[in-house]
Amino acid sequence: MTPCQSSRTTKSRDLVQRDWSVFGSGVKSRPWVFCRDSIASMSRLRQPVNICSDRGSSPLEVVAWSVVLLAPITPMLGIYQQLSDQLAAESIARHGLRAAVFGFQSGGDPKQALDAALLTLSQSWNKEVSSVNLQCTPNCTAGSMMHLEVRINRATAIQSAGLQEQ
Amino acid sequence: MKSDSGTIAPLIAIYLAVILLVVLGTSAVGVALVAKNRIQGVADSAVLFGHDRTVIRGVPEEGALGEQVEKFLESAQSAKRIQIVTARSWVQGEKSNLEICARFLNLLGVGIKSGVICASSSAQSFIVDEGK
Repeated sequence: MTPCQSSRTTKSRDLVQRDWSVFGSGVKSRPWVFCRDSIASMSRLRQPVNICSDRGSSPLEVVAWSVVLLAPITPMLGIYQQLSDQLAAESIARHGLRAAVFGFQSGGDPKQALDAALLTLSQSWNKEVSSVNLQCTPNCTAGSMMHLEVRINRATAIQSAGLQEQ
Repeated sequence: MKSDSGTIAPLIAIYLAVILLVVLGTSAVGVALVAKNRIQGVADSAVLFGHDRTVIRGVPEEGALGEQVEKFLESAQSAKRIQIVTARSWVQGEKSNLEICARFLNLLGVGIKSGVICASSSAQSFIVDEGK
């Protein structure tokens, strides 16, 4: 009978004696060796206790560690996506607005120039522009200000530029 | 080995701390890039706005440049989400210069603001009209 089996059925005093008989002759330096199951019952003896059980589930441990180590990947991907969208939106807004301003100053339609630029810019960033809003304050005439708002998914960027006075 | 007793908790805590550090570090770098981009865009637009409106025969006027830059920063929608800390404009030869230091407010839509980021920009006219 092993000490682990005996600890369930015997009282503490009996277990001490039994363990001594099992380990005492073979393990000289560590005569007091008890099992996990007997720790609770042995606590009142105030003796050093070693756990001699290494039972456990390796698959369970792999799953637990995988969860701990892989869990941050999802929020990291979300943050990366948001930052990527934001950078793309800022860049597209900036260059799109420049194209619109040049389109206006060359006497053309700024929206037409913007649409042509947006096609190239969104392809170069490999992003789909959700919405675009081009407006002027107070109106699209020389000397006023032009604003372009670009939205890519949840990222929004806005850029402003002055229209050159004639 | 004398003893193999211990707890795995410090190891897990260190792993989690490293993961958290990597996430925060990566986010901070990305957010700084976004903020720098926006502030640089505002600086570029502001110096162009000021230069276009103050240049006479290819040479900008320093006093008027500051006024126009201020006007732009007050009215431009792109400048609404940034908090200007300092703005300095000056003329050097035929070149208009602007340096602004600002914070980007409500970064990534989560209510945080960036640290102070400085951007400088210059503008110069290369084609001078007869009258201007």
